[in-house]
Amino acid sequence: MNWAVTHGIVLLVGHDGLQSYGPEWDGHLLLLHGSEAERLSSLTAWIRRGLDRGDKVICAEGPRPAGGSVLDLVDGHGADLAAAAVASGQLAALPSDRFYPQGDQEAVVEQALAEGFPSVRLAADATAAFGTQPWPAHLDIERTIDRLCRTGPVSAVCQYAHPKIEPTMLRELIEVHRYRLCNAALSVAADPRGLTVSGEIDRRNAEVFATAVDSAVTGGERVLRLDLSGLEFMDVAACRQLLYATDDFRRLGGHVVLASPQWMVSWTLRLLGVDQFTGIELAGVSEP
Amino acid sequence: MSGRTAADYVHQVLFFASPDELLTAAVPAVRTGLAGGDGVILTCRDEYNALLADAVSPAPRILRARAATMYPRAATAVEALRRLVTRQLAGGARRIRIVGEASFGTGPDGWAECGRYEAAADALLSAFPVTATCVYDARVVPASVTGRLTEAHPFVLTPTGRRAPNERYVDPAAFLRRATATGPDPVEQSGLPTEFAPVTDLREVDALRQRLAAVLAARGVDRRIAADVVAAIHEVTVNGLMHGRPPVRLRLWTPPGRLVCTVTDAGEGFDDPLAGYLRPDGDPFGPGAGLWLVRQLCDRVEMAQTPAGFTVKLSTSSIAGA
Repeated sequence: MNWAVTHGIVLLVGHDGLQSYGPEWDGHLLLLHGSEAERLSSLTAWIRRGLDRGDKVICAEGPRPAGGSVLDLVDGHGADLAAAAVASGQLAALPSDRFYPQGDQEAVVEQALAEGFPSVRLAADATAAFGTQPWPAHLDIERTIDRLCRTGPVSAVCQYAHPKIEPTMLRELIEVHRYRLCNAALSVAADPRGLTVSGEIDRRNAEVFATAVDSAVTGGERVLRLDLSGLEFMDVAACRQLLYATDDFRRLGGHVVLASPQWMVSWTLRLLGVDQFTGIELAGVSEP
Repeated sequence: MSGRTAADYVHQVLFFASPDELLTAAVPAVRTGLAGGDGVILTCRDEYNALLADAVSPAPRILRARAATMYPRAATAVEALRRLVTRQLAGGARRIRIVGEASFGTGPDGWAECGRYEAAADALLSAFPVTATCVYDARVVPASVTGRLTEAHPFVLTPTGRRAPNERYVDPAAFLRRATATGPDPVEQSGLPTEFAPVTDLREVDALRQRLAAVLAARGVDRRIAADVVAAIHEVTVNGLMHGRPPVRLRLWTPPGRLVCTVTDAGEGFDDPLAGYLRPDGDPFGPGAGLWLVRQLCDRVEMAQTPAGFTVKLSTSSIAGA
């Protein structure tokens, strides 16, 4: 089980094919969190994984009250893992205003590699930096991070407070985070045929799911396959968003395959008649 | 459902005392309809479906559904009927002739559910070009129930096949408002509920689902039934947060063989006795779809303003296959 599934993280991908820097690469992730607790919960697992792997882990955060940094909460095992990692230089905090200026990201990575670490893991609180520069400039930085993740031993998780993200911005963020998008309850992974969806989709994250699907169907493919084998719950809002997001795609002859849903999800899809819509196919349904 | 078009729509009840009376009253209109290109739907017990089909055969445009599986609960029966009607219309029928024998059991609850079905079906069918004849064996239906069932139909069909307007007809909303004002379930007054932490935000709903699923699993509730209940309570809770007023409070009772839940928000609720019986007009996933799903998943759904707020009460059997 990978990190994304374990911690309910979602992902997204572009259609130009996935690239990765080796089997342990965790990609360039977009973490949409609904609360600070959600952010910290997702991050601590990701950071612990980096420490276990021997990565240099750099956490870029905005100003926070004492004890409120992710570094204070990394250790969930009783041992003083975070303190030891900080002392050895493996785990470091970096103020957002030193990480986010244009061009500084490459320098941060180069310095970490120069210290002898085999790979670098960046945890960047983008919300803190978000309003300090024009949106296009912010997207340029995201593109730089994306390039670093694709061309070097670098993984990054960019954290955004979901309520502050406008729908158009969400779409752009998804497109620049070409590997993964993360949310507290949902995990979507990509393969050449489509998206693999895990976790739960409900009213809270249905629009995020829809944006991911919408992004996926605009790549020019005729068939979008959604592997639902890891999806445990889907409510009316999620079904609605699935249909709305694929409406134009299906109207133009596109085909959406909802593959291997667990029985409760398939029951909901069938009860609501989602499988009766033109261009929707329910395949590989399991029984309880 | 709006847009009632009385000229196109006939919903009538027939109380018959023998199979011969059933055939005498129902068959001529079906035969005439078939000759004119109508589609036919039969949803009676197998024996009567066969009798009726034989009486008008050969007829290629007859759909049969077994009463034994058609009528588990009112809302699902209405949806099954909608699918049959739309299927016949999509097949090219200009008008649909339905002969149905609703059966939800012969106890008081079963007859009450039958009345709710008839009222909801009346609302559904009013949007379609149908002649629906609801047939009941007068030897089986209690006298106290006959009048109530008759009230849900705009027309009455006599055993001799003569149709007459029903002066005692009650429109579906009024019928259902009266039929669902049942007060507290006995278990609410005698049993201690399991209380769940109030939900004040959409971000807390997944945790509620998980806690509820854990409680149901610990009490040995069938997995499929538990999943239905969790999905239903999820939709009601989200409705309470989105359209009502937080906090939303869930209480659960699990008396032998049943599950009873109340979901109460602090809002003023709404007064629509038909809510959830019919799929929303136009966009089937538009407002109202959640409550429609809830009615598909639970045996009974009642809504009322209570001293604690607006309460949606769900009850369902906890016995698989019941």
